[in-house]
Amino acid sequence: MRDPLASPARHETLARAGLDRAALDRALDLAVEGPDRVTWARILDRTLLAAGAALVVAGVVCFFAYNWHALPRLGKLGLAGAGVAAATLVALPLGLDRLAGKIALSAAAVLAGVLLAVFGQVYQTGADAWQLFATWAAVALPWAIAAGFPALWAIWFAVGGVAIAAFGDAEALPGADVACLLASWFGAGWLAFERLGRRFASLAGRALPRLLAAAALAAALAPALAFVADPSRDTAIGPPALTILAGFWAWYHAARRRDLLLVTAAVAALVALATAAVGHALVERLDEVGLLATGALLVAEIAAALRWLLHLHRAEAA
Amino acid sequence: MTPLAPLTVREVRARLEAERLPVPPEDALAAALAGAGAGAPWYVRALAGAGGWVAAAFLAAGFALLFRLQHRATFGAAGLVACAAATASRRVARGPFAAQLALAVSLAGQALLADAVLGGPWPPTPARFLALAGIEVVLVAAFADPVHRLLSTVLAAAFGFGAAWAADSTAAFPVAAGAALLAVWTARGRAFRPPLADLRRPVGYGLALAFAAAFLWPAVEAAGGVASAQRVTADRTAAAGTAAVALGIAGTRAFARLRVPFSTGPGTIALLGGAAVVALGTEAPGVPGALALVALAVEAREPLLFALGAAAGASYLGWWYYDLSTTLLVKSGVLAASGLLLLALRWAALRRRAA
Repeated sequence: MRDPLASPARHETLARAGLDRAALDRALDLAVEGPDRVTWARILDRTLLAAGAALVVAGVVCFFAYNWHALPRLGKLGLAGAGVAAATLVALPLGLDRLAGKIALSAAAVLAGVLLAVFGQVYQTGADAWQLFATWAAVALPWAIAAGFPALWAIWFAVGGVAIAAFGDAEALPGADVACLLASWFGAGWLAFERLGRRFASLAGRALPRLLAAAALAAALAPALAFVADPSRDTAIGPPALTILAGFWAWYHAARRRDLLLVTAAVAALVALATAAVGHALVERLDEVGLLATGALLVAEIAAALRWLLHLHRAEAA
Repeated sequence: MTPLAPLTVREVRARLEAERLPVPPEDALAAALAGAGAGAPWYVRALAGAGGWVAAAFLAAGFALLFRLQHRATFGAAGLVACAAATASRRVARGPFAAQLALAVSLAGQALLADAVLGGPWPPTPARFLALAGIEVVLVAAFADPVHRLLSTVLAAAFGFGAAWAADSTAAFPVAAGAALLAVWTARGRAFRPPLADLRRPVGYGLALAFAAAFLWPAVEAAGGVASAQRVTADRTAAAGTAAVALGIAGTRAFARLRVPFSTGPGTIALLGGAAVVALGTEAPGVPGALALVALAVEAREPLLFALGAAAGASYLGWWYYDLSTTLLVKSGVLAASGLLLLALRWAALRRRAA
């Protein structure tokens, strides 16, 4: 159960605490009193380090941007390669069980993509954009496995997603097909990390499965809404695919996994699809009255959804 | 727990008790606060908010089309009615959806009002912008919702900027935004006792956004080529001066907390370092401006304001990169020198602690 006394002592909270005038005045002063000397010194130390390093890096980036065209090919490649090597060499002594090491290895994986892009720019390889991103994903995979860092895995899945989208663009695939491929990609990632999170402590957090599930839902929602808006321009797979995916996730995360955030995301996708489908028909038949009816329909849908979600939330909290 | 975390109600209660001030027992305090801040998690509120906003858009569009609202006077009247109705309904709204619906209806009303007041010959007079800013100030006080208060503060600042722009004196904007920001975030806590208690954070955050935008503006107008060189210089000088004052005040408060007098060696080093950052800020005022926001955030124990200051600094650098009035070589020197200065200050502080 939530402890009201553990909540932050903000003005809006203290004003409702039932304190008398003198105590309230003092409490309000305490609420805006800064940290003690030791804490201030620690914050100052970290802030000066982070801001100083960020500004120096920004200065270096500007310096190379100033001279970029004057740099020889090998100089450009060498710079990008040195970035990858430096980040990897920093990561190894720090250790991959520490956050600093994981962040350094993630930087190396990201810089590997920059190296590939510079290589393509310098030698004009003629490769399609999807090949660059697919190669980047393949190159970064060992680093992602070694780091076991959810943030790097999120970047890795995003790079893979961009490769799929670029492939669809290059091959002129229908939008619904590309969206289904993306939903499958992120959905497979969700399934994998739902299982891996139970086996590996470093992957036990909910952030990555949630992110992947939300990305899969978003990918499935796009073709469904596009089909509702104009059935002649897209294939009919979108609405049933979204209904099945979101319906399954709403049930699974409400009944089995107890993850209200993903229940909410699935419900939001279903509400969006239902409103778009019914609203489209209403506006086509009733014009401005249809707009008013769609607004009223949405009010009813959201009210019903909130009722269920708040019921789940209270059941979870009890 | 983050070092920036605010005190808890329990900690404040313990301090009051230690100072022999009358405080209610813990269970009575818990009962009084049980409703405050409880309720739906953020993502459920986000769903309610998005639903409320889209529903309000459908209802407003249907209403406007059904009743054929075409004239600015009717737009203005409909806008005022919508704002008044939303303000009244927010005071009685209990659930998250009703609250978001009221917020969306109010913003739709404000859009109609803005169209009615600013429509016609362009550019509008400063008085028209100031009239809208005045309405937003009234809504800050009247509309009992933190998100609306924040948005109304931002809109009041935006209309204030519009008035300055129409009067060809945009240099006044960073000065006004900085003064208001410092007034809110450096005031004693008791200056915001009820009924002002609910205003402090939303208004403070709105002013922080306006302050950050004031530094972005010279970079945006220079990058976009939308103003003369003299105007860009005047705006940048005003922003740099405001940043210097804000950083000076925030820095002085920080050093008072650290109990480091400026007359001592480390204090003098810090003073010189700060002065150098401010001097470099004449080229890039966003750097000292962002540092001032960060220092205010630490003193106010506001992690979100800290993040806003950091994001404002990063956004500023992003825009400044495209500012053609300064070469990349100068930018490189300013940024690297500012960074090295901060690192040198940290090194000096560490040496002092080691000694």
